[in-house]
Amino acid sequence: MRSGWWIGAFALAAVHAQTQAPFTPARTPDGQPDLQGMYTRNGVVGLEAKPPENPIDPSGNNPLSVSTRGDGLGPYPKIFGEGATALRGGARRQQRRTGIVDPEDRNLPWRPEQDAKRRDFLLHMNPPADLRHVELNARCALPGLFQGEDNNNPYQFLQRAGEVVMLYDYNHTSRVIHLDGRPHLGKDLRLFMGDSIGHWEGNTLVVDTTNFNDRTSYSREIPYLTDALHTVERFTISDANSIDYEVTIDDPGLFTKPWKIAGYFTRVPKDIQSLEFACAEGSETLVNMFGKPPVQPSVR
Amino acid sequence: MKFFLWTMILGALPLAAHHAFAAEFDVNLPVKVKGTVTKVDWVNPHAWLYVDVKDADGKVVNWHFELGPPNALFRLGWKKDSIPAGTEVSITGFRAKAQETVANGRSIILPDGRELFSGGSGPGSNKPDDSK
Repeated sequence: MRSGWWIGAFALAAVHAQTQAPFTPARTPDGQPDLQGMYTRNGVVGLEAKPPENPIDPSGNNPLSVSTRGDGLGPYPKIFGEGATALRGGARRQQRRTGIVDPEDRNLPWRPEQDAKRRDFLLHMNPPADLRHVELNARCALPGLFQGEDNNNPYQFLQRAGEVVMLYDYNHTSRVIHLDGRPHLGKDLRLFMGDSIGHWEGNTLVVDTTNFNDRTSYSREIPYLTDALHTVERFTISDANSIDYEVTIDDPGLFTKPWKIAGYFTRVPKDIQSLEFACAEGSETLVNMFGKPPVQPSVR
Repeated sequence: MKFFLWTMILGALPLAAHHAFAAEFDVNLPVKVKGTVTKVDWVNPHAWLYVDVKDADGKVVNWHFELGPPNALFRLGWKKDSIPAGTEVSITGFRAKAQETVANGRSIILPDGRELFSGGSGPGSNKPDDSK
């Protein structure tokens, strides 16, 4: 009886060990762990513990919210938020903590004067006081590292010898992550997507990015960043269909110390392809906010 | 073929979208019009639906309704001819802050009663992947 219990316990332990065994991905011709494919990213939302009231991004807690009309006629039906499910083909991944994971309490280490400044900035975004106060995405700026999943737009990973390439469906953007050990660009070169240098640690792609400009944003509550930003991302291939994602954000222009976001990528159904997204093509946002310009362009 | 089979689901809003709704459209200016579709413009970052609407004086005005981006519409089942020109529609939305005949489209009712965009919230009524 007693030995039977032990056998059972060992069997359970063996099963547990099997389910916890690290996934072994295929290799690319140059020996990199193969993470190629099309994925959606989940969880990378800068949800602070106490976000400021944001007139352009109403929520249920916001008195200016479009969802507090009380007549059920918010601007979008609640099913809008389910687009990611359609892209995933219904597949769900085991839940892990996402969003801001460090600090634990999700209170970001703001420099007090910078926190006050962004709270004031937000109050001038609706109605926008001027062009500077129109959110960057609405001006078709490239999305940077944090704003690429817009309408649940997927990301495609490609690998060549010495490079990992991320193609963004949103705004038709790309990032090339160099694995050849080159140094970062000179400090005067500033890029929307930054300059990314990477290396592999087992099944984890570690990416160090600098040389950002200050024309992208973290979120609607943090509508800009500074060109002092330095990020370290960790893309860990966790199984055949998932990549765990962490990014450590060091932006001494706004924060007193680094903080960290976690999320994950999930592979999308095979029939999903990346399509062109030319943001500037037909954007009427500024006209709808400010009215038509005095002189109409003669061509579209 | 359920009533809401054509229900379309777009990306998460307002948390995720090319622009925030509130800075561009006025939630206090809801609109509901009936009219004839003149065209659907499949452009980024948002497709546009154009509808001829007769005002109280019988004058025809062309309204512009913003839709989701083409990528999202396509992935969720829209086709180029989903709403051909000439289709009579009833459409609700919210007016642009600075444009009198421009709105954010919320719900489009087709002549046979099918509804684009909004649908019932009951299980099975509005998710393309409910069967999975």
